[in-house]
Parts: sequence; structure tokens; C-alpha cells
Amino acid sequence: MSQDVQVRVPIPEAPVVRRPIRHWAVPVVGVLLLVQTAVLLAIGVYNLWEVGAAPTVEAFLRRLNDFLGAILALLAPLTLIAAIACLTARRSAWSLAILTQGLGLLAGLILYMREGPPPLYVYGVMIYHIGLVLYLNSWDVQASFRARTARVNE
Amino acid sequence: MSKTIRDGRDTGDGDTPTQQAESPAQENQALLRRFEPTIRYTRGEQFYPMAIEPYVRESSLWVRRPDEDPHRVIPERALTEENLAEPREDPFGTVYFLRFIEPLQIASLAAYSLKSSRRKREAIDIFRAGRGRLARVGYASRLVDALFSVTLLARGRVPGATAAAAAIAYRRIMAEQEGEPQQCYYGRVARQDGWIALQYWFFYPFNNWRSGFFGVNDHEADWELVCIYLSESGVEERGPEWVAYSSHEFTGDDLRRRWDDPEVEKLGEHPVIYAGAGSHASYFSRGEYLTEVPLPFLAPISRIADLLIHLWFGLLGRAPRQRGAQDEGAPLSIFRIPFVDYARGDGVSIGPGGNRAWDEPRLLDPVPGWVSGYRGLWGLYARDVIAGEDAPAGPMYNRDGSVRRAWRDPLGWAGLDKVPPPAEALFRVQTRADEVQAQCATLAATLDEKSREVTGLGVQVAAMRGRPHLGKLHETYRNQIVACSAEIDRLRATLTSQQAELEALELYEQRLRAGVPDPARGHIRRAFHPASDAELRLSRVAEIWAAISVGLMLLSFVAVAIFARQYLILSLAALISLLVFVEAGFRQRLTQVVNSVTVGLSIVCTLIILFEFFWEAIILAVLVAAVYMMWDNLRELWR
Repeated sequence: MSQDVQVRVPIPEAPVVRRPIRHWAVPVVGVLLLVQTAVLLAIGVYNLWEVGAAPTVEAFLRRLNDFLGAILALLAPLTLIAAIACLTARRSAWSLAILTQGLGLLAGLILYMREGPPPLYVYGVMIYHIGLVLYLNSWDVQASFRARTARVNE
Repeated sequence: MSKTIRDGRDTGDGDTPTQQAESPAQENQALLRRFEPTIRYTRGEQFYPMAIEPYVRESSLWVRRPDEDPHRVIPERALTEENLAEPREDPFGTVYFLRFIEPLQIASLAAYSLKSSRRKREAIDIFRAGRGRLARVGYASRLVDALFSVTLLARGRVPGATAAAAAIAYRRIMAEQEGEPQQCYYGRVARQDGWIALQYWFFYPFNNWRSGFFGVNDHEADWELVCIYLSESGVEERGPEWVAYSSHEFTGDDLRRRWDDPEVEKLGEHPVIYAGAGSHASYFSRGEYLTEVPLPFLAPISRIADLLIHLWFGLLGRAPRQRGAQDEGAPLSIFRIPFVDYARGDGVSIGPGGNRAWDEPRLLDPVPGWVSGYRGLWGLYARDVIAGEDAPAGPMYNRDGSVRRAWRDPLGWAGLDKVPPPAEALFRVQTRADEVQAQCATLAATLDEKSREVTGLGVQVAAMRGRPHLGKLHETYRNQIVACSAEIDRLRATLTSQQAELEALELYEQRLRAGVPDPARGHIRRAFHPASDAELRLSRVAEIWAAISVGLMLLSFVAVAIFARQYLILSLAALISLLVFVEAGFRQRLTQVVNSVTVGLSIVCTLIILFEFFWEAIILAVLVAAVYMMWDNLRELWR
């Protein structure tokens, strides 16, 4: 053996800094997701209403962009499930929460890239989701999710 | 204590000339024999330790001078240990090397392959990789691996059929030996600072890690070292104290284990070593070791990636996952190529308790000419700059002709130079404690003197107050007080630290007197760890997926480029996403992947928002900062 290879080995762990776990973070995420559900539902319904108000097929096609906006409403049930999972401290709560944020951001990007200027609510949706992604990834929230789900599972 | 290394053993004055010539050698041989290791190989291993004579006889000596093509100096069959060691004068940059084998002719190789396939292979000859290395790592690593494989075509390497030819030559050499084929090692007994280092050097004619076991490299010749350390004054009572095996890039403390460490497997007084298949690297435990080869040209990208990861985790207040951590979820570095070193120990076993025995050890005391006189490579010089396809030099030298640390400093090589032999430990601790105590006394005396000085200056300054004609002197004394106080502070800090050191030494002395040993693994910073059972569990479907996924992605890319070029970027993104999610599903890491993708999307969205609302974002940030400052200041007022 005479080459420069490296065996993967554990490196001693960095000293653990004990920080207080904020147990209220999980219900807060649940509430934020409930708010998100309501907003998405409202945007979706508003867009569907706009589409539904089109009297002819031509008008419907012209308003296809509004129909695209309705996809946000499709995310509302999933977000609601994630919110309930958070409030009842299910093990899958964090995964569901981050999945809904990913899908929401994807929907936001699709709405942004469609023809014509995007409606303002798209940016609002994006900002809200970005904030939640950061919050869900913060140490405090992750620690409280772990602690809470462990406590419930016990 | 002398720092010199003594090979062999000093003889007493009363010995007869015959005894002087024989006794130390016999004693060394007996020591080597007594603790010789047992090496367990992996099924399918083709090369075992052998004597160098037949190898040298089969090899030719070549030289490559700067700006010249290599040319043969001594042909096969004419090369001996004696003419190999002859001194030669050459310009700087000249490389001497042996060539054990020429690649087989196509016909010969075909005949060999046919013969091999007809021969009923014993179970001990058959190697099965099990879970493939690519199934253990992610896409990026697989792509980098593909790149690495392509570079093999361009860079210097051992030619393709050489391993097969070497196997034939090795079998022939073994068959020519009288009776049973004998495996042997070269032994050296070095005495240094109260320690006896038993060095076992193993010579293999070929390293077929790449061609035989999907590893990093092939090269002709391979020298491996196992070292056992005994206390000079306690060989009989205590036996070995430490063992160290050469293994990949490990150096110093990480190489050695204490004899009573549970990781050191033993058969009586013989340590058991698990040799990597083809690589012959030595391991303490059986298993499969995931190794990584860094690619030098990717180092800058790797550094940038590390920086970004640290920034991201810093933003979230989370500690980044340490590179190299071997827990199940830890990502491999995507800028290193993964390989597996199989040290399963399910094949041939050589040594005490094994199915083959060691031949009489060949002593390297006194140092033979072929060890000290030949500084060249022991096999083909492939001029490979990446993965070590060049053969190594002999036991005494590095490839550049400098003396190996393992040879010139057997203790320092395993980080044992700072460890006293057990019999001397107490004495060393007491000596050190005396030294520190003396330093403390000197410091205390200096401090007394300085304290008197600063007090005197203080009194002087106080006396001068209100005397305008002494203004300049007053200023000078004040400056002297500042300097003196700083000096006193420094001295007190040193004294405090030395007192703590002394206290630690005294406690350590008490522990030694009570016979409490140091922790067996306290010196290890990075340890070998074979892959766990959980890491080795992966379904066959996932294995097949790992093998074909990158190729599948490239084929799909070509199809999109031909039939739907207008949607190239979109299709590519969808394709990669699909593959990544399928892969993540196999590895039960879907949540991590979803999170990574979401984080990526949020970065894109942030950039869009900044692009669309740059000035609004600036104004908002300033507003938030202003409100926060006001709130913070008001909160302070209300408290």
C-alpha cells in the first residue's frame, strides 16, 4: 500500500453546548402552518373564482394564468395535515412541514415564471415560505421537534 | 538517555568471538519469532509475503534520467542482490526502478484466462465484493469516480494485464520452491530510548488492489510494516507494550494500539492482523473499510463548498456535521473518490495458528546491501501523479531516496517517542516534577524581587506627587511601574500554570504508584472503523440502481438533447430530481433530500425577491434595524 488515501473515521465530536429547548416552538410551527393553510386556500379560491367567472372558453383560456394560481389551493390540504401533525406532535411532523414549504416554493416559482407580470401575492407566498424554511431549520426548532416527538412517543 | 538507534544488540566484553557473532542474532531471531504476527487475508488474495531473491532474479533494473526515456541497465536473470546495491552516479532527478513483469502477450493472457476458468477454484480463491463501493456513496461521488476512471487512460499507470502476469510469475516462483511454498518476512530489532522495536517487514511482489478488488491503484512490489514495541527492561515479565501497523495515510499516535487494547486481537503472544485485499494495508479488526482518495485539482471547490456549508449552519445556529464522521447519515465528501479496502480475514491465514507458517525470518541486522545500497523503486515507475501507481522504494527509503521515518526513528513513526518505557515512567514523572518545581522556585524568587521593585517605585511615585520639579522623573517612574506590573502579571500567569502542571504531575505520580494505567485509547485521534452491518445492508435492487443510475442519466440526457432540445434544461432538472429522489428513497434519506431541495428553492426565491424589490428590501432592512434599536434602547430605559 503506498498511496495517499484516507480511511473514513469518526472525528471527536465538538463539545456539546447545552441550550434550553423551547418546547413551544412546535405548536408555533403548527399555528404558522394553519395560517399558511388559510392563506393558500384563500388565494386558490380567489383564483378559481376568477376563472369560474369567465363566461366563454376563450375567456377561460385568457385567464389560464389565474387557473395556475389555483394550484396553491391544492397545497392547502397537505399544509393542514402538516399543521395537525405538528400540533399533535407526530414523528413525521417536521418532514411534512418542510415538504409543504418545498412544494409551496416550487408553486411560487412556477407562478413567477408564467407569462406576464406575476401577482403580488406570489412574492408574499415566497417570503412566508422562506421564513418558515429558515425557522424549521434552526437549531431551536429542530431540538424542540426531537424532544417533543420523543416525549409523545414515550 | 541516548537518542541513538542501535540495530541488533551490544555484546559483553567476556563473550568469545563466536558468541559475539552469533548470540545477538540468535537472540533477535528468537524475539522476532516469539511475537511474530498472524496475518489473515481476504478470499481471492493472490500475493503473499515472499523473499526478495526470486523477485530480484526475475526483475530487470531500469533507469530514467531527466529528459530521457527509461532504459534497461541490467536484464532479468542477471540482476542479483549484490549488483542491485552497487553505487551509481547519475544527475539529479534520476530514478532507478525494477521491472518485475512485462504485460502478457494477448495469446498468453487468453491461455491463462482459459486455464483459470477451467481450474476448479477453491472457495479461498474467490472474492465477492458484496455491497459495491458505488452503492455506498452518492451521485456526485459516482460522477467524480467516472472522471477518475477516465483519467486512468491519460495518466501513467501499471499496464492492464500486468496483474495477471504477476500472478502467473508469482505462482511459478512459489512452485519452484522445494516442498511447500514458504512465506517469509524480514525482521529488524531496533533499540531506542529504553524500547525494543521489533520490525516485521513484508514484501509482496504486486499490489493488485485496483485490478483485483476495485481499489485505487496497482503497483509492482509492496512493502508493509508491522512493529511491536517492548520495554528493554521488561521483555520477560511484561511482554509487548504496543503494536503499530502501517496503514494508508495514518501516522504517529493513530497507528499504534496498546497491547491490552481489546481492539488488538491476539493468539497467545502473536498479534492478529487483517490485511486489505490487494492493498495489503494492515488493520486491527476484520471488516470493510471505506477509504477516500482526495483529488488535488478539486481542492479549491471543496474549500468553497465547506465554507458555504459552515455559513449555512452558522446562520441556523447548528453545528455542521464533521467531515469524515462515519455515522450512518454522514455524507461522504463529494470531492473525494470512495474505495473499499476489504480486510475480511476469510482467506489464507499465515503465522501461528494459521493455515500456513512463516519461514525462518530474514534478519536485517546487519543491514544488507540491497536495503541500504539501493535507493530506487522496487517495481515499475509509472510516473503517476494521482493515485500511487508507482512502486514503493525498499524498507529503508522513501520514493525520493530519503530515509523512511519508520527506519530512522521507529519510535517517532508510531508516536512513541514521547512515551517512556513503563519501568522508567515513574522516574520520568519525578524528574519532570523536580524540574517544574525548580522552575516554580525560580519564578517565585523573581516575582518577589519584581514585587519589591514595583512597590518601591509606587512609594517613590507617591512621594513625588505635588512636587512639580520632579515631573519628568515622576513620568519615567510611572512608565516603569506599568512595565514592571505587566512583567509581574506575566510571571504570575506562568507560575500559576506551572503550579497546575506540578499538581497534575503529582496526581499522575500517585496514579502510577497505585498501578492505575493510562486509558488504552487516550492517544488515538482518528481510529480505523470498518463499515457497520447497517451500512452494508442494501437491497439488490438498490445495488443495481447504484451501478446503472449515472449511465442511465447520461443516456436520458442524450435522448432529450436529440428529441426535445427546446426543453433541455427543464428535462435535465426533472431527470436529476427524479434520480435523486429515487436514490434517497433507497437510502431512507428522503427527508434530508427534501430539506436540501427546499433550502435550494428558498435561496432561488430569495434571489428573485432581492432582484425584484432591491430598494424596498434595503429600506425594509433599515426600517427593521431602526425599530429594533429603538426597542432595545427603550427596553433598557424601562428596566
